Amino acid sequence: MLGITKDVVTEISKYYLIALILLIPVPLAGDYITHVTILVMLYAVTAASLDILVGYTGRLSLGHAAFFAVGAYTSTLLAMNWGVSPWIGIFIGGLMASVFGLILGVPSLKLRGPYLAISSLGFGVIVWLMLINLDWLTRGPLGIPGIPPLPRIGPIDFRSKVAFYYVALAFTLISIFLLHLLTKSRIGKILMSIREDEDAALSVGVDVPLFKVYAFLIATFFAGISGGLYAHYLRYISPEISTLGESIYILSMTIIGGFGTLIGPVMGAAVLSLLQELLRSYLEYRYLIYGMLIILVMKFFPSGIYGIVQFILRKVRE
Amino acid sequence: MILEVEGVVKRFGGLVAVDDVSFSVKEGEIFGIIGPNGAGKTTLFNVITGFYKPDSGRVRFQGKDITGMRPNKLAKLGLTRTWQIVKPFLGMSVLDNVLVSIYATKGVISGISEKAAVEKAEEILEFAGLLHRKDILAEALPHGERKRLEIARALATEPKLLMLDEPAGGLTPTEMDEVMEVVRRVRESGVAVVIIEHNMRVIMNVCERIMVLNFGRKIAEGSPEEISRNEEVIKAYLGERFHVRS
Repeated sequence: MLGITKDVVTEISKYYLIALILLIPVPLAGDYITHVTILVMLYAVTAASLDILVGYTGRLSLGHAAFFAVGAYTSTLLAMNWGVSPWIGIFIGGLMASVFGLILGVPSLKLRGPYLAISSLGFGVIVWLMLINLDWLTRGPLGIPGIPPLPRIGPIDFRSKVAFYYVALAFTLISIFLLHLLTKSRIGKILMSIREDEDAALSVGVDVPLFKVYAFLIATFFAGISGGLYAHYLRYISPEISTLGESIYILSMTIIGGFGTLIGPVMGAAVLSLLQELLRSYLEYRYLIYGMLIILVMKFFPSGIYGIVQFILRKVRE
Repeated sequence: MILEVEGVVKRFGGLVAVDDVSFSVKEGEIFGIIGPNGAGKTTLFNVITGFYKPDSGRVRFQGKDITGMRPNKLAKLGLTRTWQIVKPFLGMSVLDNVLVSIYATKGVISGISEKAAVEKAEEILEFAGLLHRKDILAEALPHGERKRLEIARALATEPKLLMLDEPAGGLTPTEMDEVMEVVRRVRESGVAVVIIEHNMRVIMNVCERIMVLNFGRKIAEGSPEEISRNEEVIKAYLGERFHVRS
């Protein structure tokens, strides 16, 4: 289907099996490591979903945190006001993020380069302002505490970090696997043709606006679901999760990891989260550090951490 | 008639880039458009292929009015163009470059099996003499091969009319011959071709009929022999008598 052959599925599945085996024992390392890994995984999916826009379709977005936040708030509000089970709410949160993706994606279809970046930045700020000012709905800057956890299944209580860890692990591997298949599919190739040259793509029959909208729908859906899981894990959210800084943080993961590779942003999420943990006491300098890292990576290693890893692997083989 | 252009006008502010141009192309012929720089050839091309909307005038393809229709729709109908400055999908393999055309015109979700799509893409690459290059990235191709990839990618949309914007531009004489060989074979397979070209050797050798533009206006139309003897054309464009080499 969609040009995905059995060979491709088998080849890719291998890596996910290895990742699964490596990640299963993580909770043995204690609560702190488990907690950090959960956050890394949620960010990894968000950064990978952004890569569909930035790396594959060539649509720079400076507002991706907004979709993460829309997913988080949707699922939270559904659970707290209408008692919707978070299992369903998280999914609806993903769909709601896609609706917001449409709201940004359709009017910005014709924008290119810096104009697109600015419009996405503006959109992110609008969402942030809405979350702050619609206090009858969102409690404004206070945020929402006491969000219900994922409902228990039989004896499994998802308030425990270990139990939640395996939910996040399953979600992460499945999401990135699906996005990975997407990039290998016909849709992936069509998106890449748009990234390479919109006019050339149009001239060979590609419905460019339609596929740009698809890219927005897919990328925002996964960001929204990550946001939902985040909300029911930390059980507290505030407009802080949708700030411009947060969007730049996610974009940094995608770029420093290596955009257009899908796996690079996953590595980027891991490295930047680690960095953030190590530099806890210098948190105010973090954007300075990310900014410098982005410049250094763009200048010397445009293919990012992924490219560096590949380079080292090649040297080792030789 | 596969293509009929009627009284097309395209203005950019005060400049009339294409001024009331009409012509038609028969099934299976190679039709040339020549003219000095700035004569409006590429603008006319962009109007026909849907990249510009004309200020007035009509364009009909196989009897159907296609004026202002979007380029991707036209490609699906069978009217496909190439670009003067080639636009390969640089970061994709040569095979994927051609596959994009097949997916886009045959259907992304369904419409053609992956095996059939790849077979077809390989057949077209073979036709364009690029099959041995299929797995490398398009950015690694030299200019001559990029020109042929440009044509291969357009052919993969299964056009009935292929519009080539300076297919020999910037090529060495040998590369030029290779590209022209491909163009001739395209015609033999029954596809009509419209060519914009600067190179007189190419246009005189390959075209059956030629239209000459100057300052956005059509000043002549006819066989290569007629064009090369037309006084106005000689004055406007050639500057001196040009004789057809046979």
